[in-house]
Formats: sequence, structure tokens, C-alpha cells
Amino acid sequence: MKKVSDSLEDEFINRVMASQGIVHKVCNMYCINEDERKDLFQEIMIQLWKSYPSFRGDAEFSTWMYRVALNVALQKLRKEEKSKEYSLLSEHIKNLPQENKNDDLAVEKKLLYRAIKELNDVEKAIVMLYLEEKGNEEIAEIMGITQNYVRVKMTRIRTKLKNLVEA
Amino acid sequence: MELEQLKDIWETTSEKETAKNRIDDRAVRAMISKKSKTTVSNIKRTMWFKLWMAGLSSIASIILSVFHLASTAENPLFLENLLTKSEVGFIFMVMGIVMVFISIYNFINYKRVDEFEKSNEPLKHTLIRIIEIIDTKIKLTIYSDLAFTPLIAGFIAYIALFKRQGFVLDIRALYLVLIVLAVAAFSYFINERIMKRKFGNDMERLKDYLYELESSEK
Repeated sequence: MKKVSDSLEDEFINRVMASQGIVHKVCNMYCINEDERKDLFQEIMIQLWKSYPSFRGDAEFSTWMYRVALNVALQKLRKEEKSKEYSLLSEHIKNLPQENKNDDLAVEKKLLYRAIKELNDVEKAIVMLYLEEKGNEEIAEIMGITQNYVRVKMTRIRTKLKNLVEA
Repeated sequence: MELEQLKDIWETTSEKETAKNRIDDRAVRAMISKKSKTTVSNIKRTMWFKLWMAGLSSIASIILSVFHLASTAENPLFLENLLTKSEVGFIFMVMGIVMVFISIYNFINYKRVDEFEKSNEPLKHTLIRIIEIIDTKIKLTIYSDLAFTPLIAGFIAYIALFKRQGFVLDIRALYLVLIVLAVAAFSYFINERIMKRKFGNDMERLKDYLYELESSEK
């Protein structure tokens, strides 16, 4: 019995190690604070392991990982109020170019975080999946909504981002 | 800013961030052996604790009840100085039955939470289930206390009002009913406030997410 659970754990670790970037991306999307990011990463790993026995392979492993990771990110208890989170985010954005004035990546990061800041948590999930080159069908499957709604939502997000640039 | 523009930035940034924060398999193994701190996991742990407490209390109460009702001894426990043997037996029996129901309700809900924790449903369904779990947890706390606290208060009030005279239908019976009702109302009010304070913000946030996912499908 011990051997079965050990081999399951080994199998899980191997698969998760190969795709751990997904978890990092979700954490970066939802957390600005380093401690929060670490906490969320750990919670996602725990939840992935807990629900791994129910993964039957009827979806791609990465789809399953996105689903579990986003579920944890959205349900996680927040210690800080939203306004505090936003102020942290603003502070982070403000500091980015100063951290490294000549680094193009820092400027791009600033642009990215500014865009993320404008989105609510549900929109963040949809945008993240879109940025990860997921199709509407897969986004709909992960989110549990219709493909039509994904299209509607994407149009709204585009408008939101355009307004951000024009403002 | 166009989404297409963001795609390139996202790719570059994500690659750098992932490379910077990458962890090894030993760290992953250590992580998965730790306790989860999510709302659902905390609720599950509380349910497990309450299940054991209610289960043990119900067994103890029923044993004490049978012991009092069946014993031929004049004074099996100290309580006989305050109440008659059959009154003590009856009170323990009521407490035992209430605790059995609380244990069963806790057990059913614990199993549901456990099943949910191991599942991997789409985001919208997960939100619905979490809202249900938190709602059940709130009801479980409010109603189990609503059943138990007035029972204890009634027990103490009965001792104070009737001592060893036995139950008599006079003004004291009305006092007893009023005390039980007042404690029940107070328990409901306090627990509702506590639960709202503890889970109110989370519930509101989760309902907002769900509303957003459902709104355009209506």
C-alpha cells in the first residue's frame, strides 16, 4: 500500500515539476506581495496533490492544473483588503522602472501589471488563459462557462484595456 | 493597449519569473505534506473536531442516562443532591439524542467537504460548492449551538428553580421556558454576528465572482 502511494507521489512530482510554470504564472497573476505569492504557491501544490487521484486524464494535464490552480487562487482567504492589495500593486508598478531604469523588461512588466490591475479576479483568470494561448473551448471548460460568454468577456476586456490606454 | 501586445510581454515576463522562482522536487514534496490553509480546509478541520466532540459527548450522555435510569443505587452521581435520579437520566438522554443528531449532521457535511476537496471541477461549479460549504458551516454552527446552549441553560435553570421537588406546572415552568427562549435568541444573535464577521467578506466576494460568471449567461 505504501509503495502504491509512493509511486503515485513520484508520478505526481514528475508531472508537476515539468509544468510548475503554470503555478508560478497563476501566482504572479494574483499576488504582488512575495509572501502571498509563496503562500499561494504552496496552497496550489497541496490542492493539486489532494485532487490528483481524481485526475482521470479525460482532459490535458495542463488544463487540469490551470483549473485547480485558478480555483485555489480565487477561493484563497485574503488577509488584506482589496484597497490595500491595489495600493501594493500601485507601489510595485511605481517602483518597477526605478529598480532598473534601462531594462526594457521592467518597463514591459510595468505595462503588464498596469493592465492586470484594471481587471477583476474573474477577468484575470480569463485573460491569463488567453495569454497562455488557450482556445475559447478550453477556457470555457476550465471556467465552467459557455464559449459564447468567453467571447463576450474577451470583448469587454479588450474595451477595458483600450480605455486604459486612452485615459 | 491591445491584448496581442500583452501576449509577448506576458511570455517574456513569465519565462523570466518562472526561471527565477523555480523550485526542486524536494521542496514540492515538503509542500504537499503541509496542512492547507484555505477556508474550505479550515472548515473541514473544524467539522472533524466537532464531529469527535459531539460523538464522544453523545456516547457519554447516553451511557450516563442509562446508568441513572437503570441503577438501583440511591445516589449514583453528585447530581442527585440537586435533582431526582430519573430527572438526571432524562436530561442526559435528551442531551445524548441532540448530540447524536449534531454528530450525524456534522459527519454528512464532513464527507461532502472531503469529496469536494478531492474533486477538480470547473471554476464556476467550484464557486457554487464553496458557497454551499460556507453556508452549511454557518448554519451548522448557529443551529447546533441553538440546540445545545439553551439545553444547558435549561438544565441549570431547572436545577435552580425546582431543585429536588420535581417538575410542577406553576409560574416556575413559565420562567424556565422564558429562560430557554432568551438563551436561544441570544445564542442565535451572537453566533449569527460571529459567523457574519468571520465569513461575511469571503461569501460576498465569492458571490460576486459567481454573479459575474452567471450574469452574461442569463
